[in-house]
Amino acid sequence: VARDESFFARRQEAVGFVNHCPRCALGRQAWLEVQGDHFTFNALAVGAPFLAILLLTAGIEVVYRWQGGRKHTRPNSHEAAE
Amino acid sequence: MSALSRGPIISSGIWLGAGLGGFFDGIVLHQVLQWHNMLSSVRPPIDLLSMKYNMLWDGLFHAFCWFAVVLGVWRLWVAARRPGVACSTPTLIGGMLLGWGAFNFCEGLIDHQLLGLHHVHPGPGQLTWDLGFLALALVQIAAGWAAIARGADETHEPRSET
Repeated sequence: VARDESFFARRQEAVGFVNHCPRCALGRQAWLEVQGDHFTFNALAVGAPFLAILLLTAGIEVVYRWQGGRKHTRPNSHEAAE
Repeated sequence: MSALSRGPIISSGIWLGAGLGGFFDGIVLHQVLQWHNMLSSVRPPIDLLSMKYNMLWDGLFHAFCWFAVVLGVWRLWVAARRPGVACSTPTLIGGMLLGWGAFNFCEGLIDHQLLGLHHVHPGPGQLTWDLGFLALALVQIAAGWAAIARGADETHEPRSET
């Protein structure tokens, strides 16, 4: 099926798309270069809020254990049923 | 009456709130409203390649959210089986609100303000939107804190039935 060049031209004109196809050789090369661009930094940046949550919950766990944790002996409902 | 611990329930709620809050952000702000993408201020999605780049990082963000929810469910399961843990609904809801707010606050501070990866609603007045997002996060944290305080009533041994 012939590619409708006018469609891509119209789209590029309308919304600023460029004709980079990730499946063609040139497009794939460009795509791979983009992927390697600051990957570690981006991963840390995206994961940073989750790291903050990890620290917060780790702190709560430390406090729970410091307060005695398993010393409390009231069974939960399923344990009471047993 | 012996005090029961709520730490493990709060901790589980925080993970659930952070994960589900992240999904809310990704689904509503990234995909439905299309206000921003994960790296849209670094590489604006103005062509297919840049759009795919942002899609990848949106996907990795959702992967983080997915792990947070799984971790929250697992922590909740472990907490429910621990002796001396109060399975209080207000505490769990409060923990989730606290987690959602804490996640939004950290995300707003680190990704929006410090690193400038994206902004809530880029363009004129983006700072106002970003500050509003941070304010909303603080409201969520306060609401979560209040719910947890309300749940304190459920953390004591029930009176013996007569």
